[in-house]
Amino acid sequence: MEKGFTVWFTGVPAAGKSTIAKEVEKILRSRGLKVENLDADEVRQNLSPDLKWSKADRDLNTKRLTFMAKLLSRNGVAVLIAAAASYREFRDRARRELDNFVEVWVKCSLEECKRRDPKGLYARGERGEVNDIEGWHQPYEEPLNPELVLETEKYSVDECVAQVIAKLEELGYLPSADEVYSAEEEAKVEERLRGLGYI
Amino acid sequence: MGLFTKLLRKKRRRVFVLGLDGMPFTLAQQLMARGTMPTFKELSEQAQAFRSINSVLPPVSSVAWASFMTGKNPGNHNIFGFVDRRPATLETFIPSSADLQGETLWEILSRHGRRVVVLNVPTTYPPRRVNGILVSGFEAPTLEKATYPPEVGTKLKQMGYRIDIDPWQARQSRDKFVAELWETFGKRREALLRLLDEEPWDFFIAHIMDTDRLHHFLWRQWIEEDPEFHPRFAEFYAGVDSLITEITRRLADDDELIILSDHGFCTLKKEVYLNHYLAEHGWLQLNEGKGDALASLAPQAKAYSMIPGRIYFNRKGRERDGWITDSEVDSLFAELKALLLEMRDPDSGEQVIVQCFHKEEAFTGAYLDLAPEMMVLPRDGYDLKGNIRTQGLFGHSELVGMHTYDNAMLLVRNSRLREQTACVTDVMPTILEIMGLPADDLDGVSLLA
Repeated sequence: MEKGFTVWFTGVPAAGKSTIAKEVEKILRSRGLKVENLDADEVRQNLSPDLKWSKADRDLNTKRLTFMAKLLSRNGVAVLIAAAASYREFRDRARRELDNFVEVWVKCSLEECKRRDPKGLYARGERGEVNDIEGWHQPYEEPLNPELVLETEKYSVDECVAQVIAKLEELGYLPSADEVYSAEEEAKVEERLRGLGYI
Repeated sequence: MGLFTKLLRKKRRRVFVLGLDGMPFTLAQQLMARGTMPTFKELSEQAQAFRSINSVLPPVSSVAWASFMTGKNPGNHNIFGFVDRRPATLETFIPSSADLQGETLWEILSRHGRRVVVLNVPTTYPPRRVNGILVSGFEAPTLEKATYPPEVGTKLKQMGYRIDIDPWQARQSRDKFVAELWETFGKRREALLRLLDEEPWDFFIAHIMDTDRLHHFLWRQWIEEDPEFHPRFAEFYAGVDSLITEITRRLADDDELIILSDHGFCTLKKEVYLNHYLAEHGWLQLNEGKGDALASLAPQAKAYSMIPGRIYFNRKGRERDGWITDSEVDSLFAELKALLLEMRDPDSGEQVIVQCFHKEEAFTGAYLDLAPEMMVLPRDGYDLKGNIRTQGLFGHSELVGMHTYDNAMLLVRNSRLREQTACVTDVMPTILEIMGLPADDLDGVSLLA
């Protein structure tokens, strides 16, 4: 069985975690991997509707995500998690418990997140309706040694996705698309195609 | 097995697809009329649908089967030909299933717990994991690397299974070619029937590449009624008919049977070297001494062509030394189109290029940026090549048949189809609907009535 792995996209709300995870999911599937994309909001709705936004509740939700990732990845599934996991200790625990753990910091400034605001969360913050947004009202502890930092203000979604794929190839979790043919094999197949008038 | 599971399993509709690469609809009609294919004839008379369909642009097997298996156009599945280039370096490469974007029909079926057997379909190398068995098509370098799971390759090797004929031998001797074609087809038939006998399946696709090979090397002999090879061409199709007989014997009446080809065929009169034409008219310049490689493209070049009929502009921000900006594309397109439509065969006076499509007319989707700015279709008989340096504009080789965009074929035994123009891309959503599964986000549309 192929080895599973977990990519944890961490970052403040509206940084682009879910958007990038969804695109990465498509590519992993197209490369023939079994993939589960654990979206934090969905998991919360289904498994932790009782939890709120205190540190203790966030801690528990992260624990549940980590546990699911453990079950899936040890069965050869590529697990993607888009969840802020705003405290370093949460992510360090996940790193300890999960084999093949890849921490990806989806980085974006508070100003830009407020401008993007796809769920209207920051607008609610501005109106004083919520006061528990990570990286604004509550701490977001930036990763110290993530496997990858995605500068989402500098790079497009496609470019960020390409960086994640390249990192997974580099780490050996994803066979490189360039290794489809050895030089000798490629020459052989090219010769066949040339003989058929196809190239 | 519980009763519920049994009932559920019983309700599931199985689908068998036989791919006859490059078999024109009109050829099937001719072979039926002359009595070469009695089983196929009977099947076509009883079938709910038997008709000609269109291929895709460009009409080559790797692209057409990629469109079939994803239900998407090349702008979404990212396979534009048997060869492609990395624009940033202009190095060429062979696109594979690792470049193919999107879920394939068999991956979707696997995800829904259906068991699949996939034999020899182009653009499936390297084999991607399925719930069942996948044997890659002729782009696989070795049988060892061609299968999922890998042990299937060992079994096939023991049987003496062959991925494809040797085209260089075929160019040297038609006799040897016909012998080798029968041998390859015989092994393919043996593997197919053994898998059909031994493996459980909900979806089975067996692809016969050998018909396409027959056409490339003997189409002219068929059309011109060559005393030796016309009968041998027909004999081969009698062999295909006998395979269809064996398959139908193994299917239940309510199993859906689909017979599909991916493009048509016609006699090849001349090879046409589009890059030579571009160079003659000042559109393409090459650096000296770098051989027949696209990488020798000079910075000032405006355009280059890849096989068949794909014309790329030297775009700023895409090609290595690209300089053509977005705003210049439309006027250059118009200018080049006029130039291409002027091309004549000096021997016959015939117009060589009959249609030029803007990239947005030919493709849509996420990979549009990598697509050629222009797709060109020739008059039947003029095979558009992508050679970089040639002595002249026209040439000949041992290949005597070429693909056409129209006149591909579709037979559906049990399901009623709507009367409408269809293409290869529409078959996959049709199969999903027959199997009772949702078809999301596809370019093709189900043809079910």
